[in-house]
Amino acid sequence: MRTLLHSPSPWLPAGITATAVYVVFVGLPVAALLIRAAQQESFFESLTSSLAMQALRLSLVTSVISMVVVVLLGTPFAHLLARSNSAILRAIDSIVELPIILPPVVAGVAMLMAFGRQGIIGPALSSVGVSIPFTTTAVIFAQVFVAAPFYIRAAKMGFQSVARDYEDISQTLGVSPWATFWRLTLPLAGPSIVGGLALAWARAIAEFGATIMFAGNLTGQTQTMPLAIMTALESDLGAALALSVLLLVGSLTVLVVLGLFTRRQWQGRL
Amino acid sequence: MPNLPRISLLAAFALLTTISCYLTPTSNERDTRLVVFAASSLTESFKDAAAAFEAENPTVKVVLNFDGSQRLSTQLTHGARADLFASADWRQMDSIVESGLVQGQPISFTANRLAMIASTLTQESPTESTTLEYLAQPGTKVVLAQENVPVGGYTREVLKNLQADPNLGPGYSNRVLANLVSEESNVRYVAQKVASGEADAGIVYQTDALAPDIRNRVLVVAIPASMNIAARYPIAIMRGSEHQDLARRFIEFLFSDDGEKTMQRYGFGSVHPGLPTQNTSAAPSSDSR
Repeated sequence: MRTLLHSPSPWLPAGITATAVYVVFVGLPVAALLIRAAQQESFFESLTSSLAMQALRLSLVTSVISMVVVVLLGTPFAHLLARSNSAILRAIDSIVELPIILPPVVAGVAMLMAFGRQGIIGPALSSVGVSIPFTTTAVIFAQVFVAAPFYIRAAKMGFQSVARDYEDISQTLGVSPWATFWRLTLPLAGPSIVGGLALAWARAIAEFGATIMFAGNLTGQTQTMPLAIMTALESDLGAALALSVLLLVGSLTVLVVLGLFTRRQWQGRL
Repeated sequence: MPNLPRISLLAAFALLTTISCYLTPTSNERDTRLVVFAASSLTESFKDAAAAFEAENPTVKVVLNFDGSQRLSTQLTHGARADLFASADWRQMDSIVESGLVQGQPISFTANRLAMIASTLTQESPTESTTLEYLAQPGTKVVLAQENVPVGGYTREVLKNLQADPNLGPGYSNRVLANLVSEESNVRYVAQKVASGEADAGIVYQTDALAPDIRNRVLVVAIPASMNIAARYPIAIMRGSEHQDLARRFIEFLFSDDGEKTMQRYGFGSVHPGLPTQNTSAAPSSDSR
């Protein structure tokens, strides 16, 4: 037993029991999903069905666009948050993570109230011919809304971890501020940023509540993978299982790649 | 200095406990719970029916769960407990009968028809002359229920029927479906999306068009009886029910004069064995706006 812990702990029996219970609690549903999916005769047909393919394509396209938006907006924002001490920015900083805590369905209602046709700025948008609800744009809005904080938080912490002394030294040695950012700050903050991006991407792919509320549910237009799973579950369990396995495998891949990536970074530093 | 975080944690815990105790229903006198899973189009009528049934049975609390019938039937198939299931079509009822979940035979207890609704809030406000063609006009944002939702199935049937109308033409169904911006999982979501003005038009039951939070915000366009459908709603007692007698009495109540009047008050038609009657008096007319 000494091999498990460095010193004897009164927690050991409880720890082992809790670990076993938790592993079964999480592992069993995941295993059951795979087993039931494997039992489906038409698994591959379901996987390549038009519903699944359109949902997969839409999820990939919208989440990639969302991540581009998140990086373009989130990186300068996070850098500013990490470097400034102004009271206004501190206040903004404290509400950045609100969408993480907010139930997604509330986010959906809120976006409808703002950007919907009858929303606060809806009529203004309509007057210039823009209507956002029920469009693929609405899907991206929902994803950016819920996923951006994961990236901003991680990027901010990444930038904060880079000591300002390094940047100052770099610049006194005659390296321009931009070159310092690209060659010093970004590589050092990189692991944090990539980790945050992966989490944000996973959250965007998973987005359901805000999407169905704000973007609706139409195959090929707004029906992302989670919405397709919900829709399929009520008529074709096989298709719902196939789509679920696809998302499960995708999530595991993100987790594994992320684990390998961060571990390599640590090894490089230690 | 007392430990402030610990005190505030205790206070928060005490507050939450108090709130949850306050929120827990303490109706000891109503100790029998009759759980009814019902199609979302039955929302108002069944709330009313449940209240009347509770008045007759002081020890009974009717617990209602409304959603699209396909969602309820999926939940029942996967083990949700209910005493009664009222579906908006036979397709969803048959699927749980096949799963062996139903006690005895389901029976049709009420009937409904479809109507088109259009938002009165959207920019090009529909006028008196708005017709079924509005659904097919390019640019109209149409919301319908998914095909597996009872009303979604009926809707697609009616759209095909309407192609017989020379004013609408053979391509009508496809033209309407091309305007589709969202497929909803129950009829109330369709009605709400139109009533809130986020969508322009949709097809719902005529009873939804009359629902209190809908009727003042939409314009109702009737679908001619010859091309409409007669949606028959079956109800069944669930095999796992521990209140079989009570469940049977609830069904009897629906067939009683009081029960039928309740359903009719919300625009439903009555069902005579095998043949739903047409409830023309409740058909949406110009004054239902």
